[in-house]
Amino acid sequence: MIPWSVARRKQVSAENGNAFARTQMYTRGLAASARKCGGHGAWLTMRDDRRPLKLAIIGCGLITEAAHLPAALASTVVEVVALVDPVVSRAQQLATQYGIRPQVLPCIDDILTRVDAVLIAAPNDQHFPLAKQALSERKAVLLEKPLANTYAEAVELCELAERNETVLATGFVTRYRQSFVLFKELLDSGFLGQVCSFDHQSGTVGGWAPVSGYNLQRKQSGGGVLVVSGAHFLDRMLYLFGWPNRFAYEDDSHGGIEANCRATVFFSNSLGEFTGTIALSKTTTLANRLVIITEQYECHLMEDDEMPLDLYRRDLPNIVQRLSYRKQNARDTFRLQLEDFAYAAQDGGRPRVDGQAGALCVKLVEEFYAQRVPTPEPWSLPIGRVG
Amino acid sequence: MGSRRIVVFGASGFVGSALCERLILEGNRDFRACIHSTGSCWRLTRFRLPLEVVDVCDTDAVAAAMRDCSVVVNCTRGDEKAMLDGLQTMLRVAQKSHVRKFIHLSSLAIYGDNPAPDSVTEEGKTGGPWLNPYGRLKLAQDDLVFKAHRAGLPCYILCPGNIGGPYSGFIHGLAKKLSSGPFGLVDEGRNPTNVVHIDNLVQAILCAVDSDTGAGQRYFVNDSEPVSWYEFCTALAKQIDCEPTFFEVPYETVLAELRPKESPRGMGEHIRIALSGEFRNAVGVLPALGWANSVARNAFDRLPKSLQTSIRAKVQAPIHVRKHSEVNLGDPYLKVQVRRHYHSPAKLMNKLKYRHAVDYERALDSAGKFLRFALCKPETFPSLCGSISASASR
Repeated sequence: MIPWSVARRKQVSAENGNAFARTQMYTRGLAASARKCGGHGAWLTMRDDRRPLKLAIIGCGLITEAAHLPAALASTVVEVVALVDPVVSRAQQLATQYGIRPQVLPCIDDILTRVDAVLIAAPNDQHFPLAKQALSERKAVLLEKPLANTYAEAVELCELAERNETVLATGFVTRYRQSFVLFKELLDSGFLGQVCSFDHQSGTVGGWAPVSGYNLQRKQSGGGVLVVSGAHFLDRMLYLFGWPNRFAYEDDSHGGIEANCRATVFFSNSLGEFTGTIALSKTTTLANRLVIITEQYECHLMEDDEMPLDLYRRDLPNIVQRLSYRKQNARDTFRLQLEDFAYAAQDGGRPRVDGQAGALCVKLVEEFYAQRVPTPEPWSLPIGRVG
Repeated sequence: MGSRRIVVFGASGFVGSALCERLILEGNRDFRACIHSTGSCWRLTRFRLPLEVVDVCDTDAVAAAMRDCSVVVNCTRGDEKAMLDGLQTMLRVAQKSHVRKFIHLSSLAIYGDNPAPDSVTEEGKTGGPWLNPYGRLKLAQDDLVFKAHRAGLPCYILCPGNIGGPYSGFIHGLAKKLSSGPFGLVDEGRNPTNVVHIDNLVQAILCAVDSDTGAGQRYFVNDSEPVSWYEFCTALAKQIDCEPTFFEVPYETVLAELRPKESPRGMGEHIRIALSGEFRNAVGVLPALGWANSVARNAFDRLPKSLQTSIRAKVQAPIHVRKHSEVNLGDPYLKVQVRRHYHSPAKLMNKLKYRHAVDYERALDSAGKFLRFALCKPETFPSLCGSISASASR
């Protein structure tokens, strides 16, 4: 009999990455490579002979309402025992909305002794103090991105988690996208060849309106579009390509938080010598995709959990190979993230996106901001009254 | 005149943001920016500017927002409730407080999609059969504003057409269309665009703020000269290195699409909808109606096949399959080309001493530069020459 934890781990692993790839335009080489990098018999039946992880959700804003709470309720691995928000009525409203009866509290002081883990989805400036308090009590913590507003704080959290032998995971949920997991497998397998360049664009006109309005102030949010939207990509970039050798960064802040930013990054490592461009916007709709050019392929990853990985062979650019995993029942990235965290918390392992990955991202954001150059705005009127 | 502290409602919208930016960059910080939602205020959060979240339908919140302000600029948009109830609230509170001037953003849409020739001046007849739902709402708003003016609150109504320039969704969409394939031109692209650059619209608002005369009137806001659609599209495409191709769309064809239907949903249409599977499944969520639906369905299934076929033929509308080359007449960029008249800003210039902030050439250049940025052209990314070496990571 496979132990419960190993069975569960294999199941998540299968859902996330180890089933072999299917394609509408299958080529022999691609199929061979995909098989090489994945085991296709890894679908195991779950055993529910362990009690679910008792979880408190800290912060009852939009992301909790729309993603974390539904994901937790959909999972058999966790049990939501408390909702915590300084605005208790908001927490109560969520409990009523989802028909659950957890404890509803204004702060975490009274709940930490009664839970195994906490999921923190509070305003960014609250991440550090809340996580520190929970980690000090040896509770496992899944912390929404960014891990903290400064690298020093992020490192402190990682060290505290290590010292107390507990789990600290960062909420970079896009790492659980199947297209991304598949791309990483193919890149690591060498199937795609060396990387030549990449271009990431993510932009919408406005968007997420946090209940607390923390996004209006740099002190609370830690930054603008680079932190709010861009951190997800920076984490994926670091995971795929490692730390950049050089970079240039500019944004359109006028003393407040930036709405648009652009970066050019250069890498020289085992994957090749290549340059990447990053465009992030909260005022303009952009292509919302990552394009990676490798020796053999042009790879398109859309900013969408549901979309497959599109490969265009560079010598046959009119033909698209649309790749996804054979098993398609795990598109709920928030649930995958939560369950990955729960397994790590119960088994003492490492979550897919640990605290160190979160800390590295905070460090890169800090370095970008430190070297910031203002975006030229040649479309603006010259300052001074006209007419 | 005393203090002119301005309160801008709808500050996070396209026009409101541009106005606030201009006030900030000119050093005139004596204003208050009110927004509806924190999700769309990114242009303003770039500045360290206090923003107030205000529900314009909430009398107390509006009164607090207008406190100490003598000029109100209404740039709000939204659903019917926000546009009518919200405006009524703002006007009512303004009348009761110290507000000395109310500036309202209207639209050329109040003259309809196919305006009459007399609409070349503001005194032309508004309304009429060509009003679209948005124009109907804006016209209802204008009526409220004129009523408030007659009741003693000095009001100005500004009527822009299509608004262009940096951050304009209209221009961004047009640029994408021009670069993605053939673009349909109505009347060979001869009709005027009536596109006003956002900086010129902001200039018009500031003229209304500064003016001591001219209240109780409606003003067209437009660029300095009429520019045809062909001319505009060609020039805009050049700005983004695109060679546009065009095809002709007959004026009458687009007009027929816009023509108001006498009875958009007749009795037959109602019956078709009521008997459609979609509708029956939707109302079937209610247990009683679900039961009735299944009874009716069973009864229908027991009818002879020939009768079933005959009933289906009567109830179901024919399926229209569009030719692959057929023009999409629902395209908003076709509909706006039906307007044959240029709505001159002459009255604005005469009465409110308006002068353009940017001329046509500068407006085009400004839009083009922003579009290159929005379309992520290579030169809009920072260069690695002289860039920083990243610190060691681990």
